Amino acid sequence: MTQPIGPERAREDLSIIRETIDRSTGSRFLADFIRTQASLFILFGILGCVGCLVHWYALLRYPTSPATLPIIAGMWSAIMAFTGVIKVRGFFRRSKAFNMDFLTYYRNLTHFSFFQVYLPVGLAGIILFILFIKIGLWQHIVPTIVVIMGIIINSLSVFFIDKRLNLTGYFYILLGGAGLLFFDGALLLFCGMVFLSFTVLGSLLHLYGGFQE
Amino acid sequence: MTTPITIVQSAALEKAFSVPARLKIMSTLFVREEIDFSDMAGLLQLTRGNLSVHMKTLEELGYVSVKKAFIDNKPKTTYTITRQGRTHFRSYVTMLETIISPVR
Repeated sequence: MTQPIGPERAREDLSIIRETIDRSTGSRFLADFIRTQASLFILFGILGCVGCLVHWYALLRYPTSPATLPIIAGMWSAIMAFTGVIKVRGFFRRSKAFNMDFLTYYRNLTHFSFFQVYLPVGLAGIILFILFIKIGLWQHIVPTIVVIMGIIINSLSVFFIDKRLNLTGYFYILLGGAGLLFFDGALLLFCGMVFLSFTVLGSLLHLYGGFQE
Repeated sequence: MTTPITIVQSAALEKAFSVPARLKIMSTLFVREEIDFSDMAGLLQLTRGNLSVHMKTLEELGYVSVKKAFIDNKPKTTYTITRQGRTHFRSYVTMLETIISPVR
């Protein structure tokens, strides 16, 4: 005859369930992501790299020409907006598909990625896009504002929504946000980092040049 | 509102999920629409023989359904969770949470 389950066994079983679900959703998310969005993201990554190279070239060749940074910013925000839509749609689909009350752990996990990552980055992208359209003169400061906004929004979400400190969020936001888009896969992360490096370097150089003028 | 679990149901659930491997299989199927045999074995780090035995048990309990097909002349076995499997698994988790809740 089966022995009744005690608290210890119940805890163990719940732990097994949580770990397995974590592993399964992680790998599924990655697999889905690679299958459905990889080519798109790689294309964005390549476009970003080309854009940044052009930006660099223009910067070095024509230091006093109208800044190309807004072009990069526009491209960046377009990517943000597009991926934001994909991610938010994915978030709602996943919420609907799973019983959110079933495992607090899973809910927290989803909560974390939405509020800590996609929401700040998405908002930063939208703000960047508006600034890009409206205030051309602020072009040198826009990347700085975006990063600061990201940090503020991230802080708010950390302290008032998740009530826990997670340095990873700050790390990614400080990197500029673009790397976040490629959060789910090494290859995509690589593309993101290449894109990001050029953006950050180009922007810093441009910022430096702007101050020199 | 959650339906209370009867003693008989509770015993049946305990028996069905008494093995950690079966718990892992059901957890995986709960969050994935479907999964093939090889992926499942790799993901849960179970031997094919072991997995096969547990899948058979779960199939007999009516918790999983099996779909067999040939893709590029290779057999492919895919598993999905049934409605009954989903309901029972959820009940089991509710039961576990109830057990630990007073002593949390």
